[in-house]
Amino acid sequence: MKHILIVDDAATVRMYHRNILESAGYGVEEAVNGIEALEKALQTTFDLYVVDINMPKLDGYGFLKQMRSQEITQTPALMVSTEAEASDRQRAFGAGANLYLVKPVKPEVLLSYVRLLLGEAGT
Amino acid sequence: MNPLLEQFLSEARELLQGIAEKLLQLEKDPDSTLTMNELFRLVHTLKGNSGLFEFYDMIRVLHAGEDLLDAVRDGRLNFSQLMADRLLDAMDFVVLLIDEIEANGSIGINHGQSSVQFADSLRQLIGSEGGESAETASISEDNSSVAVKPMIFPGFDSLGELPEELLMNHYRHAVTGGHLWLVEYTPEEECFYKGEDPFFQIRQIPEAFWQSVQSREPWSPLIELDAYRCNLAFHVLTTTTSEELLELFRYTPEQIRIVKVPAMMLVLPQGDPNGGPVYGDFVTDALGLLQNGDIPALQAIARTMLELSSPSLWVSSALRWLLLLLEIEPDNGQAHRILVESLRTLTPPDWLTIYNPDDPDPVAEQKETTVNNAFTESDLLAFNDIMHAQREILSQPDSDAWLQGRLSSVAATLAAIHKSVGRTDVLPSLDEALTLALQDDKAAPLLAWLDSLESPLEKVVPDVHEEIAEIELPSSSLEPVGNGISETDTEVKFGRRAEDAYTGPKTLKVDQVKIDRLMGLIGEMVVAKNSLPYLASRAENQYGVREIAREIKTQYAVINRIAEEMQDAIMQVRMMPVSFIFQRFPRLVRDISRKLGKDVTLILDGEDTEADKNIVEALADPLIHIVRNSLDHGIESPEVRKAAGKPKVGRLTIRASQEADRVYIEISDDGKGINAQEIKRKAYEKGVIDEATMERLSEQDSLNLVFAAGFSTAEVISDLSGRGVGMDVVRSAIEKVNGTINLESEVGKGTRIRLSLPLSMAVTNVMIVEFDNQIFGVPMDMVVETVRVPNKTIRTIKKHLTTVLRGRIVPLLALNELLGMDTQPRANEENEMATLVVRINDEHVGIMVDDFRETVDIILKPMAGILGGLGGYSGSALLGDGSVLMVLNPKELI
Repeated sequence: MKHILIVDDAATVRMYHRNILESAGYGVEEAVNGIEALEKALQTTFDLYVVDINMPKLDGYGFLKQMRSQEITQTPALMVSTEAEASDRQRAFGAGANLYLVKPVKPEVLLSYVRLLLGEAGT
Repeated sequence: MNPLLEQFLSEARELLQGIAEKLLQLEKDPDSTLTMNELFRLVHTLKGNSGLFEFYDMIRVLHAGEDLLDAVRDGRLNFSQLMADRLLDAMDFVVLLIDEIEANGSIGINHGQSSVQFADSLRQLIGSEGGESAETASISEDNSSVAVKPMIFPGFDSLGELPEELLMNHYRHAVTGGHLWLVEYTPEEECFYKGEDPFFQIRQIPEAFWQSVQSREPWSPLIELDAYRCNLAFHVLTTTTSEELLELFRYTPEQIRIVKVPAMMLVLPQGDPNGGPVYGDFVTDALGLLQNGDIPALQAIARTMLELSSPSLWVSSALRWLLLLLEIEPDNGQAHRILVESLRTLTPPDWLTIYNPDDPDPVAEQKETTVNNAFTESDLLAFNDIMHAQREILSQPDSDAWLQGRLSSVAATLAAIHKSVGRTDVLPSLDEALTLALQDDKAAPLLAWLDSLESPLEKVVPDVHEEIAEIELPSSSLEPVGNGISETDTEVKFGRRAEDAYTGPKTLKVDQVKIDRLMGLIGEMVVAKNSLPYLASRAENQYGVREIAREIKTQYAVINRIAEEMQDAIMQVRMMPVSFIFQRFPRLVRDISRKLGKDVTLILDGEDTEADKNIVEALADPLIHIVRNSLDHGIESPEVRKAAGKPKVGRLTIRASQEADRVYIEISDDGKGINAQEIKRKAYEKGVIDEATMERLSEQDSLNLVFAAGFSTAEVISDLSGRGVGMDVVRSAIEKVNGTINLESEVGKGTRIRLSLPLSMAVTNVMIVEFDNQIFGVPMDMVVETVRVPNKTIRTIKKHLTTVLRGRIVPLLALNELLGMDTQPRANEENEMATLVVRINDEHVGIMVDDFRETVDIILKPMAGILGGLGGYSGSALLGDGSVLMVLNPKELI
């Protein structure tokens, strides 16, 4: 089973993403901020990261930068945010995200991206 | 309710609480960036959460709040009192919406206007920062970040029958900042009787260019049809302003829904679908150009194509639309793609895939059934998106310290998506490109690799059969690319997979209903357990088996202990800190004192004192009432205080503490106090007491008059602390949960109110009395003593039976009088009357019954349903032998 780490401070959003991903048969772990996410990423290998931007303690940008620079993992990371501005997108890419989606992401849309990023075929 | 929505509601309440706290903190310390950032994050999170449910009325307000706070965060604005006021008001509105969602599962349709108002009031503060007036800002908002979900409604197809020119004009208008509203009008069923004419009303809508009438429910057979009941629903598209619409429907706002419609919904090519050239090549070329963003070239080929086609064809219409879209919205690549795709299939463009992928797309569904595991068009879009994103990432400056990690992650992503579409053949070259890129610390080799791929579209549209083969035979020669993706990697690290690292949460959130259920069950268990002693006595007396009786008793002792512990444990779960109600006071005190022009410091103490949930909840309203009274009538205005030589700022203290099995809440202020003489005079004027009483009353008793029904001391009735209903409501609310209230006051110094409440109200100790071969319960905490009064000592004074007990005259009442029964209480052989002396408002009253029985612990269940109106009973309970005990409420009876 593929494992995905959801990093978001909003419990509702975590649950929303978890429901979608679990319904498609993925294993899901959660972290409520960048620090916790880093700790989990150090302990476990995930196949994909779904990361929020605005979080207390360490935000999504910080988490990704740490992850990419410390060579913790180069696994694809998908950033989700409520901001649709182009500058946010560029910042996310600069920090090390591989895809930028604007919340709320529809289940089918999220899954088609996730499947691709996990290297899985077809619908 | 679905769990996600429940989660949303509970988190929303937490967030709103946090927002209120942060706002109050900011008032004290407006320069704290930390608090400001926290506040912003909370509002932002709440907005994000609401987005999941498309609660637009809520999102609109929160979005405005977020923008406002963002402006403060960026230093464009300063935090002000006015800002705090408006934000607090707006959050109150959000709380209202949350309450509504909790009750109904959705937001009612009549909040749109208030939502716009609140959002406006916040945006006004941002002022002209955005270069937009508040009105347009809040409405056009819907268009950009808050995408309004278009509805699928019956009859929309007929929109395509409107002339293309008209649709194009409206589309142009809507895209270039105009309004496009869908009005959904559902007249009341009884509207024909109320003088309303829905048809007339609908024709009054200005600038309407499309209307439809549908039946709401299927028409019933003619024989049953009620022709006078309106079963119609109207839909109208208009370009007028929302104000105009709200004005037109101002008397029936609940019957309309106004939704901003994406202009795209108007893009409906029309014409003859048959004939014309073959379009396959054109579609492929066009998609390629779109991919490369080459708009001018696309325009050129579309024009050529249009010249080749007869203008009346469907294809020509679609091309005209495409040219218009390219001209007006050159950045909307997704829309262009969909329109081009529709040329391939010659079916109307499916705009819902952009705006509403939630709804099942019949075309896609069909595909799924015919071609299993195929690569769908939405996957194709996703693939292209990801490819595009990687290109963007690689175009970022190469200077960051984590460049190597970023490059590897891009390579990993590219490998994954190509593997996903069955193109493992490109992976070795990708690996080489990555090695080069990492050597040189440059993104260029990877970019070159991207460019080296042939025309992206041909590249990714896989042959279905080939792809399925790929799934069945995963390529074993697949090189590991990046970290953590390849199969081999997964194998090695299996021991550290995510599920092993799982640690459960330490606290659980449990639904109140479940706890109540546990409580009910333990209640039944206590009752069931009580049947064992009965059983034991029957075994002994009826069947004469002593040993069994003894064993039952031993076993009973064990079960009894466990049941008691269990009850205790459940009680513990139900305990909650009083901070639950205390936390709303800072805001309340702030708002009220501001309104009254008073300066008040609130001191809260003992917030972690715990009591049963029911008690804490029952405390909320009385406490608010008392605090309001204190602020309104107790604490003086700053000028008066200064004149009286007091500190300008008043002080209000709310203190909670626990002593033995009672919780005490003390509310004290340093205000003007209560003048006992004045109270007495007022009570007399209002007829609460007579002249004789007035003479006799002590100072303390006079003060207690404020608890008398219909007494209010305020000279001017304010909207803050009651009109006529005063402290008597507080008193009865407290007494309802077996609490007492006590008031002390000193003129000029202040007032102190002390509430004493039981820790828990779950178990009640009652005394059972017998009357007319029935049994009744009386709560033990009201019983003073049980005596047998000799008949000869009973006298009649002023038509009332009385007796003298320990030198005190006690009025006697027979239970049959109180309950309206005919049977008189019976005396025993010594001609004595069994009398239960109860305390009611510090007065002793004797109730004559037939006989006394034992006292028992019961779980009191309040009367429900029709019986709920019976004031004389506080509830019923089950006894050990299975019979029902009615528990009297002497306070109400007498």
